Amino acid sequence: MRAVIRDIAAALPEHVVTNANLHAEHPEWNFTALAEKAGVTQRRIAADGETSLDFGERACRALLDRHPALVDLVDILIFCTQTPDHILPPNSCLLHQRLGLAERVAAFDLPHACSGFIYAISQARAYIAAGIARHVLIVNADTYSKLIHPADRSARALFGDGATATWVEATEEARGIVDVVCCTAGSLFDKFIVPAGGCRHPRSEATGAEVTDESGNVRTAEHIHMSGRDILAFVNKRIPQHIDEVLARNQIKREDIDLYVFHQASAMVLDSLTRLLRLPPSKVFRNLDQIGNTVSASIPLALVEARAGGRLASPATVLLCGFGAGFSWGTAIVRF
Amino acid sequence: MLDRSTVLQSVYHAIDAANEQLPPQDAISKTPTALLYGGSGPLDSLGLVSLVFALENRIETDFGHTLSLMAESTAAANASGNDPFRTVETLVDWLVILLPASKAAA
Repeated sequence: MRAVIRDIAAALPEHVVTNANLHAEHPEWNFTALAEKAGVTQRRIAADGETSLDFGERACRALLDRHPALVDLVDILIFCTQTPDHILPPNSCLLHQRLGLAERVAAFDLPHACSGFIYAISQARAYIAAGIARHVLIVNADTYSKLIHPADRSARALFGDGATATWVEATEEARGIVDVVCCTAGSLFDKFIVPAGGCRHPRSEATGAEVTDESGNVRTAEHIHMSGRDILAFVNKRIPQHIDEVLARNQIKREDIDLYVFHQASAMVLDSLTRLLRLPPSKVFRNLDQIGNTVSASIPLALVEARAGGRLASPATVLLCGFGAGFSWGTAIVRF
Repeated sequence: MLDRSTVLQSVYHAIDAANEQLPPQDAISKTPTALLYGGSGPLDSLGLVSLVFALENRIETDFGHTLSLMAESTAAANASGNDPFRTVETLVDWLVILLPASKAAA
């Protein structure tokens, strides 16, 4: 039994923060280099009191508006987020209640970041292949803006908030998810981390102390810490190799892929992958200019735009690749 | 063996490209002893990325090598404790060794 991505719906915050807004707030930031390297002109940011759960619910309601019967068909609900409402219970349980899903529905959270969509469709595909589920509802939602210090130039320029809801269904059709491979390099756990606020280092007066790094970015231990150089180095070294491994095990050549949809990390990451894999830029989808890096929602948000732009017209073979905190990454080959 | 002066010219071209994106007060000097990144070097993390990207493009044009200098330099810095991007001179020294080795490995 194959799994097919039947539909995806999106929900973004209404509030727009442009580069001009950030520049007005921090005139000392070098926006010439920043805008080009990040590739983001504006991003959507959650208001106070709005959470990933709210955007996840909105995305689900948009999906259910298009497919009203789905609410009774869902077997499994996966909520992928790193910004849940509570330490416990999981967001998936709160969303289960909000959507009025049946008690027979298995609901769980997946706390992965930018690889989260690939991990989630891997789970959905496995449940479907095992005959445990026919309909899986995946929510990818994050509000990283709540984890970023207002004076952290590198993170504020990159990230935006947003959510998607994806319906994965069992199918006998030839199209669908052809292969998914998920990987981990736990040795790099501290290269992208919020050091405090968990059980290992609970919040305290000390964890709230501001520290300025050599590039002028301000953070506390309760905010995102990103070692951009290490992350970029790892992505450039490992991801092209990983993609070639996944293509090879499916006897597919790079040129056989109609569209590459990478996690929309930043313009410099997309530029590097395009160059290192020697891909035609026209085959590498980009949509981060208007919404930024939306963490695990970035790939499904890109798919929504790609579909709207006619880039997923059947038959299209698409390679999806997500990578981020963990360090965690994964690649999927999907036939639309 | 690569001609050192050819590599130095490529680095200078990359510095010109990177300087276009840097504020005038942070512009990198085109001298072998110019400091780049770390210590009292003028580049912050964003400036380093600008230089690396400019240099990757320049090396592809000048030598036909498709490399990730970010990955290679981070590995070199982690292995030896010496960042190739400390000065123009250390960068050229490193590239003179890296470029033939990467060509042989390709």
